[in-house]
Amino acid sequence: MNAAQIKALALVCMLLGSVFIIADRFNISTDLGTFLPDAETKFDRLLRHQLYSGTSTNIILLGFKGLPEKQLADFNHKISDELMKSGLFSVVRNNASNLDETALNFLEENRYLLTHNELSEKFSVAGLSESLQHRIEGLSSSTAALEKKYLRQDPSGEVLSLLDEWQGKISRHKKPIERHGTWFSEDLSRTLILLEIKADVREMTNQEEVVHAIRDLYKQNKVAGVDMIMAGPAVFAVELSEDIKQDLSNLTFSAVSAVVLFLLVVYRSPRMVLLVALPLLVGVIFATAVILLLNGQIHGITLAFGITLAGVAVDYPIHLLTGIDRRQLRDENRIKDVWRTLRVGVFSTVIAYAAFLISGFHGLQQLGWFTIIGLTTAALVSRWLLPFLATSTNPPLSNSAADSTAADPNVDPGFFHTHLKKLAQNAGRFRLLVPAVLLMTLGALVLSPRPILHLNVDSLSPISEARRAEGKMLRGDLGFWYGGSMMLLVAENKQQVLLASEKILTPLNELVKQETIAGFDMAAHFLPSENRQIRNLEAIQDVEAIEDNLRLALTDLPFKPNVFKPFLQDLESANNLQPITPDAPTSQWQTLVGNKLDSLLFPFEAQAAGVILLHDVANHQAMNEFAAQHPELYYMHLKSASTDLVARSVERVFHAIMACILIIYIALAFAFKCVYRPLKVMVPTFTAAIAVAAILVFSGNPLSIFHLISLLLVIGLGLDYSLFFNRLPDHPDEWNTTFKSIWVCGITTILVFGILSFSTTPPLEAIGITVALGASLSIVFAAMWAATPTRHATLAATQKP
Amino acid sequence: MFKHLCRASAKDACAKQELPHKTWAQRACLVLVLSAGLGSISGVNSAEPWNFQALMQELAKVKHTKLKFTETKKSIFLITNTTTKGSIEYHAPNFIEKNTLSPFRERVVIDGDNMMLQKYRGTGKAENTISTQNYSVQSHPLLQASVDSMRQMLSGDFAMIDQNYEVEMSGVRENWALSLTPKTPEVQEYIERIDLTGADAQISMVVTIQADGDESTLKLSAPATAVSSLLKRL
Repeated sequence: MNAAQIKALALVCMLLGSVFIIADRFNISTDLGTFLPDAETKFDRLLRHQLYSGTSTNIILLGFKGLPEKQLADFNHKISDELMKSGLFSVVRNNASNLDETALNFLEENRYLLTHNELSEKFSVAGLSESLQHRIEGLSSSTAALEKKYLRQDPSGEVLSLLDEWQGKISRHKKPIERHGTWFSEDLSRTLILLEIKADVREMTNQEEVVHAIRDLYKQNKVAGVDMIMAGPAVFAVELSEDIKQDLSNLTFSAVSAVVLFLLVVYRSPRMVLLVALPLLVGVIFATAVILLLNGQIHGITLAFGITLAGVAVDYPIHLLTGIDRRQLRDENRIKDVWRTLRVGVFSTVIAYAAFLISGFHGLQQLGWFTIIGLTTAALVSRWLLPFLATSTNPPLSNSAADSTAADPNVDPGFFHTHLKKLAQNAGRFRLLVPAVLLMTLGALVLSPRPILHLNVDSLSPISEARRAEGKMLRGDLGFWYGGSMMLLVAENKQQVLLASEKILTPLNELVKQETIAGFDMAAHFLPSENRQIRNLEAIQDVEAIEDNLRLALTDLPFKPNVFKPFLQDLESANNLQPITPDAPTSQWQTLVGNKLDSLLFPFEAQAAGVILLHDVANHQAMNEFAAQHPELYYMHLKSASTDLVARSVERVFHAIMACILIIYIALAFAFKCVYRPLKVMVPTFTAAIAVAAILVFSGNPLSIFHLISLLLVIGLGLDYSLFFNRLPDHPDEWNTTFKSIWVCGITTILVFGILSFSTTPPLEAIGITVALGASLSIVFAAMWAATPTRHATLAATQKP
Repeated sequence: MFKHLCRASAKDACAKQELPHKTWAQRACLVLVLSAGLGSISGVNSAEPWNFQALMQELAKVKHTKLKFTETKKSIFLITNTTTKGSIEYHAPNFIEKNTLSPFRERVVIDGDNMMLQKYRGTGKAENTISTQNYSVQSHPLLQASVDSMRQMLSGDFAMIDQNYEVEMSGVRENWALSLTPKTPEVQEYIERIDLTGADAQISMVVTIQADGDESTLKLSAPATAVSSLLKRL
């Protein structure tokens, strides 16, 4: 066994091990948070929490449109009933008019704990007298029926004011419109249903089950003309995974068949196609295994993007095996020679992907490792396993058409090759166009007032803008808070958060009155702090004293005697109440507030955090000042805060790219043992990257983080082309082979990424467009830049026998 | 000729839920004739039997009214009665507005399925809306029961009233009395009986006796002259 065979055997063992690991512990994750920037400060982390998991992840909103009001409402009722029957949801609501019986009882029983009023004031003579006046007015008003229901037990109107807080709305800010017993959008064109998923939504299968069930129900009950809009984190997650799956199957299929077809046309040998695919396959398998070993699971996006990015590895065997044409396969020297150039290319690409590792995005780090491992493995397989496989095959490719072409250099090497060669040989005439384009595009980018970078956090979302807008629309219909501004409050524990919230309640109400904000939601609205509850319990301890106060208050009021006996009885039993804590496990409590409270008050890094959702902030300056007066408060305009977070990440990626370019230069300088030549290699690559950036920016697509990362890939690819173009003059006798390997690589890449640009998932689309465009320009610029007229002359001379 | 016209329009009134616009012009003609010869109306119509159906037909002709009201409520919890005053406005077939002006301000607007409730605080210039709430009538059974009966009465929906209530009618055209006792358990739960009195298509008093013993007496009167009221009927 020689050294090459040992290396080949080692690779086979690694491959088998990898397959075993994948089979043993394959686990794909879809948590999108992985692909969002890591946060630096406490409030950044809170922001992130709030942006991506803080909003209730088990909520689904359904909207129906396309029919007249009444018919929509009927359809809504029908679907709601069916959804209720399915048992998949803990909440199915299509209106907010009625609290269910248990919830109402819970409110009634615990009114003295949940009330926002100070009971010591309410049950004073003056307080009771004022309440009783209100009751008399209520009895003569249009809402007398409701008044009567609670009058005897609750003369101070605690239940009624709690109902005001709890009933009929999603947020305190807005009560959605209702028609025919169902929720409607403001223009009455859509009717809505709010669902809460019963099962654990962290399990993708549960999300899928629910979304499929809704779709099936809709299909079974659909009437002509009606349209359904579905929104919610679970819906988007399921749609995304379906889109990615579909992209993976459709696009992968198209890409693979296109590449296979192309390679078949070029090499006219199925074996060659298999050999070309092998390194990539091994690389992907090995990278998947390593990520699984390190992380325990691999993200769906890592896998999808990783396979795409590692697609460059198809180039490696092409470069190495195109040499087979000249029966030089056994000639280690020739392989070593190509490998020397290829090695520089692989190394610089790997270096480029290393930028992912310092991007600050957990998902991109995973993607970086995946690609680096995949590419390195593919390169090693190409170098050590492929020649071994190719030579050990019997007969060694001698039957292949490619081989026979190569055997006789005078035979027409193919239509493509001839024409491309002509183009490449003439490209040198436009040599000066490369620096001209570089200067022009760079200048345009620097001088243009257009935004170059896309810093909106939405740019990171794999969900299409249209679907996000629909989700936002439905949330708006129901008065959900949907972005904008909020305040964050961090304290030792949940009770401290509630206490702090209560302290700012009055000034916040003042801000509402001044119309600085339209309204706000906070946990303390639903749950008073333990202190306040205890204070209220103390206020009702002395029932006899309250009875005396009541008697005094009733003087001169027209109430009949003994009307308020139930009130005094309730006070007696209320004295046995225990304060309700945020984590109260009772089911009524869960029905009543569960979700709402959890998203407003939650544990956070050994402390607790409270969120105060602000509706329609009219004056950000005033809110900033307000927050500055309260050190425990942090005011955040979500859009600018998240933009800030993204900007910092983009900045990091940008620095990483700069560092990469420098590292690539140094690496090349070492490889060439020359300071000037690396620059020569890098100019066309750099020009292509800048030109792609300019095309994107000026076509109205500011660069997102996905574009930037794709540009890194473009630099990696471009370097490869440039390196091999530069190799051409050094090896005039190998001109044909090397040139062929370049254009085969280029077209393969353009095919793969061109197809990817048809993806429905925005990040994949961005990557596809950027790389396909970048690869095309790289190859064109490399051809222009490398082939100088003088060299062109020598080349032409060598071509003639 | 006139009789023929009258019958046609009455038939239309019964079918008006389905065909609301069919004979607008015809009805307008009729009302013109009626109002032009006010004295002769009762004379001509006295030949017609005055019964519940006839009253409903008359009510169905009223497309718009605005009346002052005084409502006296007797509560089982209070020794004295409470009294509120304000105005009530009706537009056929679905719009009712009750505007309470004293001793406190409150406005209820029922338009189709939507009921809006506005409460005010303060008086005069310092008056502010303190809350506006909207309800879907259909979402609240009690609300639906009372709104439906009110609307069916005002729009002269003979079929629906007949279906949901035991009807007793007495008196003459110029001074009639109507007593409605609910048939359905949902309404029986809240309402024991509704007594109405009036003259022609003008309802002058509605007494609602609730199942729990409370009573409300709503007295209605035209806010302006007979002529302008008649003009408004157009």
